[in-house]
Amino acid sequence: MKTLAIFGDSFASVNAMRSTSVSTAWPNQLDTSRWDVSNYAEPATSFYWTYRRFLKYHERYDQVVCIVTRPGRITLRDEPYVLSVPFSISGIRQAEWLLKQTKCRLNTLQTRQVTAMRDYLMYAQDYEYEVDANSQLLEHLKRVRPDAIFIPMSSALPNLRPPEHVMMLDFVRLIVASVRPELIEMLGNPRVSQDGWIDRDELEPIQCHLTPEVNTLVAGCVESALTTGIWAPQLPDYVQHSLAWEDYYRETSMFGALLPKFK
Amino acid sequence: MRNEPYVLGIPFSVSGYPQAQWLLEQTTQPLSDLQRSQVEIMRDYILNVQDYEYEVDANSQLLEHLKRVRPDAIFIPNCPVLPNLCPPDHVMMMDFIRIIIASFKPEMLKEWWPGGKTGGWIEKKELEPIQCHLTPEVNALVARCVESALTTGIWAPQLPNTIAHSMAWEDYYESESIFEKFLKKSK
Repeated sequence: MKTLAIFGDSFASVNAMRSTSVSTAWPNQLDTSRWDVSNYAEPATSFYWTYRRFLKYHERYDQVVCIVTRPGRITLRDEPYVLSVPFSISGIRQAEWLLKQTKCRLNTLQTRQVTAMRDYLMYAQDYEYEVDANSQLLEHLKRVRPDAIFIPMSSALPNLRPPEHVMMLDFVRLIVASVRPELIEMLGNPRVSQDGWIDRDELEPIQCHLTPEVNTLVAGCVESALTTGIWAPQLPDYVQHSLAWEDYYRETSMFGALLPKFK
Repeated sequence: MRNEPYVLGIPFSVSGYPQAQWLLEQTTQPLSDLQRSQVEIMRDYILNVQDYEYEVDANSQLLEHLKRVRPDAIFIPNCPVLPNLCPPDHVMMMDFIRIIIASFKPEMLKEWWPGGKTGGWIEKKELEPIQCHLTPEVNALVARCVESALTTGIWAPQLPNTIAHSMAWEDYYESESIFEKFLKKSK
């Protein structure tokens, strides 16, 4: 048995906020007779947060899988966790949501920090700087660990981009194509779906933003990549699902009514 | 802010908290409402959120990229921040400022040099002879060092401790501090 480390964001984390007894998240579907898995992924975290963890821990493991998140996120590395996950801002809408949510009220400093991050993202952040910086941080990780499997979340980084690199949002697209194909066009509409997200509250079957069936597919693709050393899965156009769309997603938007409805 | 109009004749930039405060209060070119908001947002971000280690790591890797793109380029650090372009292997621009201080105000080295409160800067308003934060005499020295580096392909100048200057300290710097009143006192 080999040791395997998984790094990344919510596309690889076992959601800390959900109380499911049987996890169908793809990291938990890897072959336990082959892999002793340690999962370092956490939701909403920045690539820099992943970069630091990767450099700190990768040497302990025989193989490494890393989900490379979208640039522009901010994780306050030295602050206490919020809602059981690292204190992070993944975008303006999530910042607004964090300010308004009542599950874990922010203290005065946290409110000031989230407000500062939201305003910075809106008015000051240089997204191209974030893209270039994250691209070069990724290049560094590739040099440090040439055998690691890097999987992009989105198509943002030029050195880890489709069509050469299948991304996690390709698996999200596969869910829509399989369960609600009439919504496929909405995924490409930036007013409705940022980067290709399904902007819906996720129900319990969804883990790592994916249905159990698609999590199984991802696990198989990752197993294959760990064997060949190459992340180049051939994805089907359709995956049979056991449940209906309504069993996976609520009709409400993930972060509230801040964007047009995804119907 | 790469896509914004220049401010005070230069790209719209915030180099730190005191400069942001200065930019908000200066009257040479009053900021528009949008610019004022942007400066306040950058100031608040620097104060409450900015992960300096991210900036260091990101900038180090961006520098590595430039080194690969242009291996013959001469890279000179401003200050000792980036681990891949740092003294003693890499003489920095602050080393030339040190020569100015050592030449005129050696008693200020402890206060102004890295580790001191100004981090190597001469915290005084610069008069006309100063260009690129350096006296004409030290600018001439830098030019010679760069000429040498361009010939050898290596930036490794041997610097003197002091250099003779033709004028007095008061001809180069005003007595007033640049950003002193905007610095947060840690008392």
